[in-house]
Amino acid sequence: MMTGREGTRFVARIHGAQNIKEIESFTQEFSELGYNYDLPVRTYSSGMRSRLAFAISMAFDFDTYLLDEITSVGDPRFQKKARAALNQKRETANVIMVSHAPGLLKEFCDCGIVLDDGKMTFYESIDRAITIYNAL
Amino acid sequence: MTQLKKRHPALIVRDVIFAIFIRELKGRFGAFRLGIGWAIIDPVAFIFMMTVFRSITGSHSVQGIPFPVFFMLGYIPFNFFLKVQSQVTGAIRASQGLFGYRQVKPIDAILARTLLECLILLFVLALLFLVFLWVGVDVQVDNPLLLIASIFFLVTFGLGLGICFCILQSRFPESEKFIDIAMRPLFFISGVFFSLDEIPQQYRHYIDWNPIVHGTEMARAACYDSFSSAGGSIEYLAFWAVFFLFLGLALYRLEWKRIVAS
Repeated sequence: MMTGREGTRFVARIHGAQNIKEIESFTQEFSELGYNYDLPVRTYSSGMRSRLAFAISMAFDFDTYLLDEITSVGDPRFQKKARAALNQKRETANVIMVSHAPGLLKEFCDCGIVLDDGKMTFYESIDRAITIYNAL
Repeated sequence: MTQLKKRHPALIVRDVIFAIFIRELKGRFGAFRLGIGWAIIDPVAFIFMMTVFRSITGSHSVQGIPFPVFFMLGYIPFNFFLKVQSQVTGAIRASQGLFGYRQVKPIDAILARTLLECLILLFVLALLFLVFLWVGVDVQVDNPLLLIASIFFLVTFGLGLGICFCILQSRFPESEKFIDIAMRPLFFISGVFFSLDEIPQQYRHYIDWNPIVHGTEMARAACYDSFSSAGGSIEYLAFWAVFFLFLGLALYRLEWKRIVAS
């Protein structure tokens, strides 16, 4: 029964944030949910849900961001905004992302891990990891 | 954007319990027009009906306790056990989606619900006391410490049993049905509307194995010196409360990682 706003507040509280109001307005604006922000999350489409989740993560300065298929969030314009926000975070934080899109990985990552047949292999260079992945 | 400070582990637990507490508060009362009003209407209706029924026989008190207070001191302590138990049993299922956040543990959901339930019932208890004082019913608390102890151990018993049930249900979902059936008659055998003294001596052993009876008995004995409990024992209740709390926490320690992962 939680609304987007209440969900944001919950996350802000468990992280011990003091400026909950500020986080709320940032999340509402960034997620582009408008008045839907005050409607229950269960009424959201999956795109709206991931936009909310992404906006909430962007409201905090974490040490490391774990991202799963971030490009599937929202329309191309929102994706561009998301990439810009993530690039800004990357100056002070680490990013671990899961994706099938080599272009995106090249843009954000230095090293890569390829998962194949239950085994994972670490590669110092992302280009090498992508070459290996494409050859699978 | 928002810098996060490094927090002491105890502060993290506090923040998480508070966050779940707020969430539960809305889930509990937000859906109803009268909100928290129901928490008061429910015991008042029960006390009123029972008082009317038992007044038909012409008497108006049990060992010096006026009927309304007698039923309040049965129903509220019993609810301290039952409500905590049922809320805790459902706690993990209700918060399952939140365990994705690393700092949110199942025990936080359990403790937040216990806290909320206790605060509601303490508020109701205080309010009923004031109402009785106001309308001139003879209420007294001769031994406050014993009253606090009996409520404390009823809550502990409910918490311990609730954790056991909660973990049992997460392992065997079918057990929910058995627990439901087993808990149903509890209301009638827990001294909510009778005292041990009113049961003929030769039948008392059918009743007095139940730790909750000892809780309601001791709550009444605590409030009225004139009430002498026939065999109620705070130690017996305390023993089972601590026993189930220990069992529950032991099971929790074994199972919490599986619960978070499921």
